[in-house]
Amino acid sequence: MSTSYTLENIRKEKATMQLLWIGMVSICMFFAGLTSLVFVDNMEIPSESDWFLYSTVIVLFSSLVYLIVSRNIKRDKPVSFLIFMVFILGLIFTYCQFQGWSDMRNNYGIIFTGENPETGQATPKEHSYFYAITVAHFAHLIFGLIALFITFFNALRNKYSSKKFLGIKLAGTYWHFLTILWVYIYLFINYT
Amino acid sequence: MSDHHHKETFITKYIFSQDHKMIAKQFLLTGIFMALVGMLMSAMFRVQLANPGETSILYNLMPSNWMDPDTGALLQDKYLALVTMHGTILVFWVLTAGLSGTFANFLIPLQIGARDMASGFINMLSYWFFFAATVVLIYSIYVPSGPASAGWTIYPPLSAEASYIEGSGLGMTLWLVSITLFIVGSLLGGLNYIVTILNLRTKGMSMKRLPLTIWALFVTAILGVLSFPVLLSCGLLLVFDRSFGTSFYLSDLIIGGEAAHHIGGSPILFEHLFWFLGHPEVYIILLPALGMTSEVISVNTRKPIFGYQAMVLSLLAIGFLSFIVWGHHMFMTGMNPFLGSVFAFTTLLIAIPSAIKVFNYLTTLWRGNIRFTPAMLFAIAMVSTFITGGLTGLILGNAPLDINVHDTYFVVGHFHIVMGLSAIYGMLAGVYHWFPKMYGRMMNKNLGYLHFWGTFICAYGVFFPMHFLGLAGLPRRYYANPVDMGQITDINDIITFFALAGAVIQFIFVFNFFYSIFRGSPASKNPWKANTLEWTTPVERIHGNWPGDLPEVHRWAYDYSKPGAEEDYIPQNVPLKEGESEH
Amino acid sequence: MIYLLIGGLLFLAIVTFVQIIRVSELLSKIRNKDVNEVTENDNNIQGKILLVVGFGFLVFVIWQIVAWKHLILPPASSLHGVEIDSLMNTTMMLILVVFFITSIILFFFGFKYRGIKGRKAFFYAHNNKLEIVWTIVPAIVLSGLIVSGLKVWDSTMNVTSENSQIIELHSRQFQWAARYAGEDNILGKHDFRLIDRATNPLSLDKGDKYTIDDKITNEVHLVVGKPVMLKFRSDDVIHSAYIPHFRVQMNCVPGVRTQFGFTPTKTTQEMREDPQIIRQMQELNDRIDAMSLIEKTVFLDENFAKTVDDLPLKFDYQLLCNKICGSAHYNMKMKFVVETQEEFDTWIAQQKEVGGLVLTKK
Ligand code: HEM
Ligand SMILES: [Cu+2]
Ligand SMILES: [Cu+2]
Repeated sequence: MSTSYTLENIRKEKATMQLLWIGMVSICMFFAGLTSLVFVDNMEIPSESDWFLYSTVIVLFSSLVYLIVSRNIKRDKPVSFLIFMVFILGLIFTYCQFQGWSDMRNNYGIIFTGENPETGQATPKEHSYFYAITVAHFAHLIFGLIALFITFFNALRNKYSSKKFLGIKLAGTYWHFLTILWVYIYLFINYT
Repeated sequence: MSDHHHKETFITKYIFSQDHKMIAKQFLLTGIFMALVGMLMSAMFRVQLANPGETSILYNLMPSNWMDPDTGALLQDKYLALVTMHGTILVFWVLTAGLSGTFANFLIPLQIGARDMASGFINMLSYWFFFAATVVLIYSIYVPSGPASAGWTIYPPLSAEASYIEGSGLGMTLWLVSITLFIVGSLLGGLNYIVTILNLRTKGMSMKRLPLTIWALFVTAILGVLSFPVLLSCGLLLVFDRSFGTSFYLSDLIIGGEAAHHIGGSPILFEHLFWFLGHPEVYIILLPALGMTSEVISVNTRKPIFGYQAMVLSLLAIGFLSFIVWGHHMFMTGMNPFLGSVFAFTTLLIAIPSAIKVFNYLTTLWRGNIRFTPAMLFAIAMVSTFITGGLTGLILGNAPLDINVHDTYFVVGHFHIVMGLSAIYGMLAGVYHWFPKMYGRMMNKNLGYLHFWGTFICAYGVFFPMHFLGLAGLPRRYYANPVDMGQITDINDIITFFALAGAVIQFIFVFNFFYSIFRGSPASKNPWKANTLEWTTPVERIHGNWPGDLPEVHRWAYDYSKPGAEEDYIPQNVPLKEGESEH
Repeated sequence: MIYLLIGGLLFLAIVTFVQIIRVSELLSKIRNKDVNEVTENDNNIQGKILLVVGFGFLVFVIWQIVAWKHLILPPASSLHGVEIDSLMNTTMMLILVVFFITSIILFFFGFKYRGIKGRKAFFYAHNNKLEIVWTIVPAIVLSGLIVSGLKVWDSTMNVTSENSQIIELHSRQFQWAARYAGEDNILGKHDFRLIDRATNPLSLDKGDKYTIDDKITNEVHLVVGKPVMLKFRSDDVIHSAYIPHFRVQMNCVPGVRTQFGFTPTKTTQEMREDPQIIRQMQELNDRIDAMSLIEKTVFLDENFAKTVDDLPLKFDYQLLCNKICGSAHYNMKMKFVVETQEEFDTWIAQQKEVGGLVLTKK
């Protein structure tokens, strides 16, 4: 009974990971839908602010830290502090994004919508698009932050071990996914 | 699923249930309810078309401001509201959620030998998102400015600006909210279906032994997971345009006599994104019906489905091709003619796997020993409508021929027959066939026959004549006949007659359904003598599906009338006899 | 009252159903059988009904073809339309043949192999040869269709405006306007920001020298045998210019330029003498004749903006809106006239030039 129970457990773990994977494929399609616009229309997306470079570096760094988390948990080494660090890095990333948006708005005059006070022209869709895609990424990031926080909390309560760390795997996979997604978006808005 | 026996309250059992069988029934009941709503709407606009400008008691079902205060006639834009809601409800609510939601939930665990879905919780969420979507959609009908009225395809700018049509105000906002909830629900469901099929198959149930229903539901779920997010991004940008004044889809508009500020957007972009979902969506609707038809036909001809492998391959081919044909809805948008050629080519390719399916069905019937259950009749009717409607696709898909029939009643005839009827027939076949498993009772056979023949006759009576309207040049979504087309009134009268008769006949089904839930004659464990695993479960439906161990699978699902066997069916969990070969 | 009646009827219907079910249940109890088990007798009856209704459907299809053939559009009145028609006829023949063959097989097999107790079905799981045949044969037939289709498509859509008379079709909720390019055959510029419903409804650029000789009309006249290039514009939502008799259709998309070039081949007068058109108009006029005077007046006014004096109605080419565009979508149409060069010259001479002065139409 007990062997079949763990067997069923392993299967369930695998299934849960797959749920996440297919969910991420879905999210990819969502962003593919958004980015296809640019190719259909040959848009040039603005990307002036340096803050986005900083946020890219931060999020890459956070993913690196998370790699250590995954290594540590397999060896039963402590992880809660590292997870907390990733979470904080996530918050810093958020901060950079907000700085970036206000930078774009205040210093480069790139707004989401409305009329340009000087020219009276409506916002070009390239500008709206910049906000649409970066904010869409951020919306997905919120769930990543929540996941990290829960994982951190569980780690604090010693819920994970080298035998049982599905939560860490799930949160990590999603977080890496967000990193890759952001890097993609960053390159995308810079090179179109 | 170790918790078979813990106490269940009414709420966890019937409302926030995580049991796949209960969730399936929730989808089914919501689907039936929405089907009736959608059907009543169609009855209303058919009445308008037969008696333009006259009043009818049917209109009283709608808010009173839908009618002209003097004549009581349906208002012009409310006609469009009806058409839009009808399309939305049937395409998304009935034939996507009602069909996939019901049968994917019900059949996947039962036919692959699993205790439940991979995640019962996500499954429950999937239903409740759908339910919330339903509530919002129904509510939108009653807002003073009316529900969305820009057609189920909600092309902007019509859908973007309330001064173009009243329904594009609050009604459209609610439509978008509702469809967003709907998409989230569908995605959650789809994730679960795929993962369950991949991971929770019981011992011996290799992919090569999966019943075709499961294959079809599997491909459907993949299509959904890949295409619905694109609709979401498409809708998101529309929301921005509508509510925040961006210009993704809008440009060069004059609103209320003044030039609007939008510039640089293109409505064509919307169409591309929409149909990238839209075309796979029609197969999301059709494939489960095809899968269930395969199953029902095989069981009731007492023969294996002919060419199992070809059936699976053609499902996969259809699924793949459906992602590269969306442009055939846009031949007349002024797209680059070369692009048009490419889409025409890929579109006609789809006809090949479709043809394979039809011929395989016909061969399955050949030299069978057909038992005409109501389900079997619906399955045969499904093959018939798939033939009739698929063939007109060859005209629509060939770009130059589409020039003169695009957006006419010819298209309406085409997709109602190939998608509407086929999927509805597949769904009804499924309900009649699996009702004993769902409710432990039989549906009344004779009422089933009555329902079938009435539906079959009326449905062709409604949709076949539409081809002629289209060939006479009658555009779709017209409130009344235009100009010198008075001579087609006869056809319209015939259609409306059959539409109303067909609608009335559906109440036989509704009655039979509910009567049988409570009073039907008790079903035996395997009333149709079928091979698939669901029929090895006990009649009283338990959490976890099988008492004791899960069944082990030893053969494919189609060993009917196998030479050398005593009975004309061998369930999948019966081991191969010595020297017996598979297939 | 009416609701009471409906409620009563519904109630009666339900009671009847329950009784039917009850009786059949009782009967089968007496015979000691399950009511809902499908018997050999059921198979026999349903199989026969399938044959009868199935063939009935095919007869219904044939009846429709015979009875309604004259209602569909007459042969095309344009050069490319003739090609479309011929491909359409070939395709239609082909799909009708396939439709009849497969449907007959379906209904016949259903009938022929209706279940008999004790008979065993033929275990026939696959046959690769057969399946390859019915993959390849449709593939070949479809290749034929698509190759000829793409030829027609290419020649239809890749028309240049050289040698064509250029006409702009302007659409807005819910009316059409046409703008002739004038002597120079070049349309003056326009910009939607110049809109002024009273003085400049087509938002034309009055400063553009090409604008001066443009002519705005509310019907379109074409010269038979002379190519035209229609350029489409929309002010608000997507409309679609659909002229079924010419086999012409193209969406009018705000912010996007679309066009369709074709050559009309039959004058309106010739069409009025076409036997199929005569029959269609005859039926329409007969229908109107059967109405009372009041009905007639209302009908003519609502649908045709005409009076009883205009009876009997005569055929005209019509441009219809074919993309859902709002409440009066169904009533958004414009008259097309095809005539000889002389007739056209007289007509166009009477139309006023935009002339940079007053840009109102009507
Ligand atoms: C042989 C296969 C088929 C071909 C070649 C084909 C082709 C087409 C084409 C070209 C159109 C666009 C017509 C127009 O708007 O002018 C169309 C419309 C449509 N088809 Fe098909 N079709 C096929 C089968 C199907 C199937 C199997 C389904 C559904 C299950 C389906 C559902 C639809 C729907 C819903 C529309 C209309 C959408 C709308 O405008 O509202 N078709 N089909
Ligand atoms: Cu399509
Ligand atoms: Cu219009």
